[in-house]
Formats: sequence, structure tokens, C-alpha cells
Amino acid sequence: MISSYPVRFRRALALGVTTLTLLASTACMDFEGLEGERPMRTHVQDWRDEVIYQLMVDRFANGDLANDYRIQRDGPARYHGGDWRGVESKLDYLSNLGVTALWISPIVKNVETDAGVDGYHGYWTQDFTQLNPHFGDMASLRRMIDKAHDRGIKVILDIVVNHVGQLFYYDINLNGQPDERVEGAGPLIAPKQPDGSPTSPVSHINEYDPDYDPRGVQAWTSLGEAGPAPIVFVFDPASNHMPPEPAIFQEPRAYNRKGRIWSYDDALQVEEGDFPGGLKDLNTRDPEVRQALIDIFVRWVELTDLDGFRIDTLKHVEREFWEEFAPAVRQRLAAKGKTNFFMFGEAFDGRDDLIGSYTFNQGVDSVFYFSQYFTVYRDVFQYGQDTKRIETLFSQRQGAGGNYGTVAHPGGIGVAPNKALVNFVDNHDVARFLYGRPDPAALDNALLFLFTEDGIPCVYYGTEQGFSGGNDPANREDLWQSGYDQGSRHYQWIRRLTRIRRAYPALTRGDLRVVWSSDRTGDEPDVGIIAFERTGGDAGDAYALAVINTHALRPSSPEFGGVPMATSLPPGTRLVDVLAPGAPPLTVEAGGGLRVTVPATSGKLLVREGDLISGL
Amino acid sequence: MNRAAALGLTATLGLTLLHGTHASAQPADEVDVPVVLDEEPPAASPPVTPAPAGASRPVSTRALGAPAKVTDLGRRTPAVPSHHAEEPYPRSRFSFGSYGRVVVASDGRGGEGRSADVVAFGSRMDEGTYAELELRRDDEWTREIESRVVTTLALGGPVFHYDGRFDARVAIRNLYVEERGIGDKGLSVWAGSRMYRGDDIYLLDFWPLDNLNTIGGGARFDLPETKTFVAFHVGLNRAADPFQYQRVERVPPQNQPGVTGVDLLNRPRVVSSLKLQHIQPLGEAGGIKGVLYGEVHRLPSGEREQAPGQIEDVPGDSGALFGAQMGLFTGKRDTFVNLFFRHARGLAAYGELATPEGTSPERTVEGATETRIGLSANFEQEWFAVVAGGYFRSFREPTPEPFRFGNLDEGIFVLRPQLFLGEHAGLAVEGSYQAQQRKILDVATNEPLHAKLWRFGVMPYLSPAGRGVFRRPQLRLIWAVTQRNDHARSLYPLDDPFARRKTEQFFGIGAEWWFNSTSYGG
Repeated sequence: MISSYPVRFRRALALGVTTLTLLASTACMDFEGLEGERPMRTHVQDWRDEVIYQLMVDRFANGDLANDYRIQRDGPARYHGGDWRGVESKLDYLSNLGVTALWISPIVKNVETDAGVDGYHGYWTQDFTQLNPHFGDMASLRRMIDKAHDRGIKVILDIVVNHVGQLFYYDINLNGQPDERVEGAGPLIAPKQPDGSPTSPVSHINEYDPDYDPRGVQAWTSLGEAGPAPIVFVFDPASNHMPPEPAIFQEPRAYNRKGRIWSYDDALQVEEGDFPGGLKDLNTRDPEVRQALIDIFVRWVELTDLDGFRIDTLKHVEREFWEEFAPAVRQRLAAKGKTNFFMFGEAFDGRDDLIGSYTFNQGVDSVFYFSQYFTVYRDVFQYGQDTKRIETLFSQRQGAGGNYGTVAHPGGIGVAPNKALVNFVDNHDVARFLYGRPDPAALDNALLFLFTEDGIPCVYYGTEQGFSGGNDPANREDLWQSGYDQGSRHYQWIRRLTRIRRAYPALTRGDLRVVWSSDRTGDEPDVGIIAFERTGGDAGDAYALAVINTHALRPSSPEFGGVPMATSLPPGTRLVDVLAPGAPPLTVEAGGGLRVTVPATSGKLLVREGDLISGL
Repeated sequence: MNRAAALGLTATLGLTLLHGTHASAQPADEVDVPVVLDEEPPAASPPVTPAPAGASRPVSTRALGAPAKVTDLGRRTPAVPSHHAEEPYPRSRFSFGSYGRVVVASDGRGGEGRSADVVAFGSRMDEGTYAELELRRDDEWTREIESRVVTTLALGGPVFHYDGRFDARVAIRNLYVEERGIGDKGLSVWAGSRMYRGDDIYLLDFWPLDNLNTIGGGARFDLPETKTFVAFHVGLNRAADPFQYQRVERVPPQNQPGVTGVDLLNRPRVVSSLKLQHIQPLGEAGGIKGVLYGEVHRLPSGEREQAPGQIEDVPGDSGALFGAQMGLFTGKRDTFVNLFFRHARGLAAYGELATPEGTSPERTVEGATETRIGLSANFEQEWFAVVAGGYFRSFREPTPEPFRFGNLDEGIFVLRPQLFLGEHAGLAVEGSYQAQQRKILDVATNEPLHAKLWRFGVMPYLSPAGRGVFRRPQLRLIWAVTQRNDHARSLYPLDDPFARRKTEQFFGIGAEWWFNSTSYGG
């Protein structure tokens, strides 16, 4: 009988059982409110007030060593260990810099590695519905975004709808395996045709990445063509070459299946061809594919309270897609309380009209201003070409006949596309500024232009630390190499420019009018000068005048033949240089004329004497 | 390896050093598990609660709170039996002992029966095959001085008759010599490779307080005329993983051709332990058992090759744990209760052969913690008994990122009533509940991952050795049904049947035995 045992024993037994039961059934973890469904909010008033900082998560900061799976830091194209925890840990660094919006590289699960290159960049989607575990999990992503919002920093997600990773091959020779082979005897061996060409030309066939064929990639055997080549999804968990998710993307009809683009002059090829590297082009004309993509990316916003999309490879998807995608996203998010959601697209192209064409018909709110990159930052600030081309470029986005939309999209950000272009000195797809022109002063000058022109400035991570890598992947350095030095030259310069931009509404919301540019490149007094006013528009009477000398060697002035530039200011207005507030004021002459000399590779930012804010 | 640990490994396979190669949060008991994902590992270890073989009335030395027999050399049970008492010194004998269990099971759907546990130490009911074979040599050199040589071979399933593969997974678990009586009759000293541990929770196959596997040595001193001892041990192990070991290829010296290997990183972990135990007799045969226990772990710094030509420093690590046990026993029919508590920090939060996965920014494991609370109890009467076991365990990695798969709280409680049907048969039923919360959000629901499962089992058995919870051998039939929630299923990869099915069954037949084993009482 149990009663025959000591009372203490029975009590102890009862206590033990009770304790264990309670402990085992009690969940005592704190999820900091990051779990479950979460509300969405609008965090932005006017996107022109923002300063975007583009970062590549894998290279920005490594906050969690424990998710450093398969990293290889001496391989520029390998995973290096950065993660969302790292981004969160450096929010003060970004805040101090003056950043107000982060553009983070894609978050979805990617092909792990392919041909010796890793999916660290995020542009090789394998599963649209899952997060890339190299960067963290949902809780860490949400927390990073929440912490950013707490500091007034918005988060823009880089998304890709044009293609997925190299997830299937075309079984061209119908043998059920991926092949890469060389066929043909070539001109040295094969008999010649009458025109001198070989009867058996050498051909290289790569079933992962065959050339574009407008009919679709064709199968063929020794007997000739055999119809469309079937596509075969790879199943390799180790490299995460796995059938894509959601399931719609496992259907052949979800892809155009026409092979790799080989001519960028062929618009259809650009839109329907596979992206180089075997990245399979999605058939975004298929209504179900369109809907799936809308659902996928709206869901990520709903899950994480993102503030915008940077959209990859805009020109590789037909315009009609964007004219359906963008309104649908706006509508869906607005219904859940998020407005002012910013969508800007990337078309890696110097054709201003092409880039701008995506901003009409309720398409994207803005574009990554690539034509400006080529025309201004590369040609003028790096290569020293004339500044007239800046004025010419800017003129193409003005007025009803301009290259960019001049009316804000319904339900969009409330700002017309031509006033909300995303400006950048360099980015992850081009060599860094200092690679092309290793002159810190020239970079500072370009940054001055970036922060004083209209639109939205976007700084590529590492610019503030003077990184100088060449083309991809050399331009994707590990930021931790810099020690996150907040005293570095360019960090301090950008910090100052962001403070100035924030302090003077003319720089964020004022209209831009070029008051001087020059097509001269010789000994003329105005060589290298670009000057523009920022006033009016949504800035009212606020006024700023930027005068920038892009010439590398000599001081210049915005005047020619003794005639100075004509500002819109009344005579007698005294202007002071925000960048050199101790310098003597300049006085506007009759007719608005202003005489000013700017040293080589530098600039002045002039405001009315009474508007000067000290301490910046 | 337990199932939950296997899941952890699945998620982390391939991590490189300090950025890990495999899972880490495994408790110390998991040392007998090679890190192989697709193998069914042996169970962690056998119980320590058996009764001495051949005893007319089964009494568990552990249940009684008595010292384990392995440290009981020449005291409770003479190394050489009494019928040799007239023989002149030295007196010697060889012994064979064993612990083992063999189980084969179906899932009732035509598949193999599998453990469905999500916690690190689940119910024994669906454990797999595991056996230990022990060969021992005992010598009494003089009246006061004795020695013992112990060799224990452990075998993990599956066995040849199941998978048709003519091989076996074998490990040496014990290989040591112990002597007693040199210097003081209460002093014993040992050296070698040894399973070194205290009381278990039988139902969970779990040693919640102390369970070390090292090569080293130790000493124990039993205070005269009391049931009190203090034991110290220091040992080393150097797991064959990149946290402790890296061999690189180099050009041979003296311009010789070919290639040679260099152990660039080779840093054994030093583990030392101190245990103080006292038994206070209570009543006719009962008593109270109290244990204080501590460990210190130390791993020196080193260097390793991160990439060809890139040598990086690997910082040293350390850790410590302390724990306590309080037990009561009646001295009648193995009735007892043991409560355990243990808290570990740093390196000691990991099993002595485990590899940390998450590290702090300084690439150490400083800040890792593990806390355990355990219960083991048995109440036994003439025809009826109730065995209980449970634990709560909380593990935190040292990484500053709190949202980690490896950060977990888990617990289980098992209750196994049984009826003795005559002298040689019985019927046990078992109910258990286990839960595990990991500090991640479920990828489907974004809710905290909280895996739970209930199990009910029935186990009729034959017991040739007689009545009693801890009488062995046992021949068993096992049926267990396990109900699992969505999050429990979500711990399995796609296409694993366990990822799809809510209910699992286990129809098994098996046997369990122990006798004459230094590690397991009898």
C-alpha cells in the first residue's frame, strides 16, 4: 500500500510529477511579437524625402555566424556570411549616415550554387515562398524591418519576376540527361562548300543554356528536328536545383522555353529569352503566372510590412505585365492599410525613352535612372565629357511629351514618375565609381550632384567607405572589411549631404531647372560646369542653386563671353554656400545674373543668405 | 542519435567550422552517435536501474540510491565471489556481462516502425536495437587491494538478420582499469576510456545529471563508516569534427616527393568532474540520497585553415556546469523517486563530443546555456507498479541571433503503470506527452514552432527472472500509437512519411536484458 511509505516520499513524488508536467507543457520563449499575422502600415510621406541605401545582404554585415553555411570569403562569387541580423546590427551606422530607406537584395530561396557561383545575390529564385536560410528566418527578417521602421528607415525589397534560377534543362537530343557537347568537324577538316564555309560547322550545344529560337528551343536528332525540346527539372537538393515553388512554376507553360538571349536588339527576344546564365524566363503572359507573381509578392509585403519593391530586369518583361502587376499590388496593399508603396524598376539600358516607357499606364512608380548613370555619372563625372548632355537628358523627362510619366499613378506614391526617379552613382551591376575614376574628389563631386538633383538619391553600399571594385562580382565587397568606419572621408561627406538635403526642402521637393551647362571641353571658362536651380514645385518658395564643376583640372564659372548664368532670383539677392558657410556671400546681378567660380572637381550649393542653416 | 537531433542535423549539414559542421544542441548523452544522417543510430545507452542478476528479490542498486556497482569495486560485491574465499591471493576471475535490447517493428502500414519522438530523449517504447558486451577481469591481489579490467563493446542496429549486410557498427565504450585499496581502503583509482555516469531516467534512456564519455582517469574516496563519497575525474576527448580537429595536406619535408598530412587543428577538450554523494538511511531500508555535481570543460585555442593559404585563429573555449540530485527510496520493491537539476554554461552546455553550431561573434560558445530538470520515479507493489519519468530542458545557443532552430525548450512526461500477471508475466501501459518549442517561426504559419505529441502504448511481456519493473530479461510485444500536431510533422523533410501523417503506430516485438554489467548495476 502506498500509505505504508513515508509521507515525505509520497509528497516528493507528487511534487516531482507536478513540476515536470508544468514545465514540459509550458512554452516560455519570447517571440517579441514577431509571430503570426501582423498589421501593415504606411511609413512614408513623400518618397522624395528619402535617401535609399542599396545593400547586398550577403556582403553588408554578418550578424549571425551560426548561419554561415557554405561560406567562402575568398571567392567573390560565393556566399560570404552576411545576413538580416547583420543589417539590424548596423542600423545605427545607416542612421548616422542619413539613410532613410534600405534596398535589400532578394530574400527568397535561391539555387544554392551553380557552375562555381553561389546564389548569394538572390537573383536565382528556386522557391518564391521560402526565405533564403543564409540570411535568417522570418522572425529575424521581421525584426530587422521593425527595427528599421523604429528608426524611420523604410525597407525596399528587390524582387525578380522575369526569371528563376537555372532549374531545368532543354533535352534537345532527347536522351533524358543534360548534355554539353561540341559537334561538327569545322573548317580545317570538313569539306568546304562552294562559298568556302565548312560543310560541317562546329556547334556548341549546352542544354542548360541554348541559344534563343523564336519557335522555342527545338529538339533534334541525327535525323533532324523533332519538335519543341522538353524541359526537365533538375533534382539536386545539395545545390538546391529543385523544382520551383509554388507548383505553377513546375509546369512547362510557366516558361517561354525559347533559349538564351543573344541579341538585345530584338525586343521579343529580350522579353521572352532566357537571361544569360541559364536563368529561365517566365511566361509572364500566362494569366495564372501573372496572378501567382502578384500573389507571391503581395504576400511578402503582408508578412513583413515592406515599403517598396525594386523590380529587377524590367525590360525583360512585357510592359503589359507591369501595367497589371503594379496596380494590382497597389490595390491589394491599400486594402490592407498600406499606401505609398513604392515600386521602381530596373532596366539596365541607356535608352532613356525605353526606361521611361515603363512609367506610363499605371506601371511602375519610378525607374532606376540608368540612362542618367551612363550619361551623367559615367560620361561626365567619370570620363569628363561635356555637361550639355546632362541638360539634354533632363529635358527628355519634362512635359507631356517626355520620356517619363508626368502624372502620379492612382493609388501610387503621389508623385509623378518624372519627379521620383531613383538616381545612383553606381550599383551592383556596374563597376564602382572609383574603379572607373580612382579620384575621391570626383566621387564626392558626383555625390554632391546626386544629393542636390531632383528625384531620390540611392547610395550603393560601400560607396561611403571608398570601395573601388570593378564589375560584378568585384563590386560586391564585404563591407565589414571597412570596419564600418564612420570617420572615413566619404562616410562623412555623405552624412553631411544627407543632412543638408533633409534641411533644405528645395533639394527634395523643388523643381529642377538647369541654368547652365556647356558643350565645351576646351579652355573655355565654363568648361565642366553644370548648374541647376531647385525651387518651386512642392517646395514653394524654397530655393537652392547647385553649381558643380566636373572638370578635373581647372576652376570654371557658369559664364561665357562675359555673360553669367541667369538665375530666377531678383537682383541683389545674397547667396551663401551651404558647403562653405564662412565664405563671402555672392550677390545676384541684374537680370538674375550670378558670377561664381568653382574650383576643379568641386561644387557650391547656394541658398539665400537668410535661409542658411548653420551647423550642417 | 535521437530524432530531434537528426532533424537539427538535417538543417545544418555541411556547415564549416565555427560556422559549424553539424548540430550542437545535443546533450552529452548522445555521444555514442556518429553524425550520420541517414543511419538509424543506436539508442543512447541502456538503463542503470537493473537488479543484480540472480538476486532472489530484485533490488536496484541505483534505485536504492546506492553507488553504482562500477564504483563499488570490492565493496558491495566482491570482485571475486565468496566461494573463492578460501583460495590464496591473488584470486582472479573473468566475467561476462551485457546490456541489450533487440526490437523489430512495423508501422502498421507496411513500413518499418520508427520512433516518433521530437524531444531529445523520448520514450523507450519505440527505441531501436542496441547492445553492449562486457568482458571483465577481476583480481584480488591482497586482502586490501583489488583491480578490475573492463572492456565493453557496443553494437548498434540494424543487425545482419534485418538488413542483410554482413557488418556491424561497433564502438568501444569501456576500456579501463580500476584499482582499489592502494594507500587507503576507501580510495579507488581508475584510468582509461570509460562511460562515467550516475542515475538515469529509465523510461527515457536519459542521464539527466552526469553522463561523461572520456579517456582519462579518476579517483573516488569513500568516507569510512558512512554512505558518502567524493569522486573526481579528468578526461579528454577530441571529436573528429572541424571544431576540434583539422588535417591538411602539405608538401613533405626535406624536399621529399608526394604529400603528407598535418594536424593543423588538434585540440582535445579537457573535461573534469567532481561529485559528492551522500545517502542518509531512513527507516528500515529506505534512505535519502543527495548528490552535488559539477563539471568544468576547457578547450584550448588553435588555428585552422579557412581556405588554402588562409590560416585563422580559433579561440579557446570553456564552460562549467553544476547540478544536484535528490532522491528518496523506500528500500522495498525498487520504489524510489529522484529529482535532478543541472545548469550548464558555455562549452559545458554541449555534450562532450558534440560540435557547437552557433557561436558568439567572438567565435566562442560563451553564452550558451542548458538547463535540465528531471524526474524519475517508481512505485511498486506486489501486483502493480507505476514508473514515471520526465524532464524539461532549455538550450540556448551563444549566437546573438535569438531566432535559431537550435534554441529550444522541450519536455516530456511519461507514466507507465503495469500489472504483474503471475510471477513471470506482466502488462505495461504507457502514456506520454512531449513538447518542443524551437525559437523559430513555422515557415507555413509564421507561428512559433511548437511541436507536441501524445503517445499511448501497451506492452505485454514475459519476465523469466520474476516480478518487478526492473527484472530482466524481458520478452515483449509492443504497440504504441502516437498522435502528432502539425508542427511536430513540420520537423520532417518533404516526402518523409512523418511529415504527412498525424498518427503513427508501432507494432513491435523485442527483448531487453541486462546482467553482470559494471555500467548498469546487476
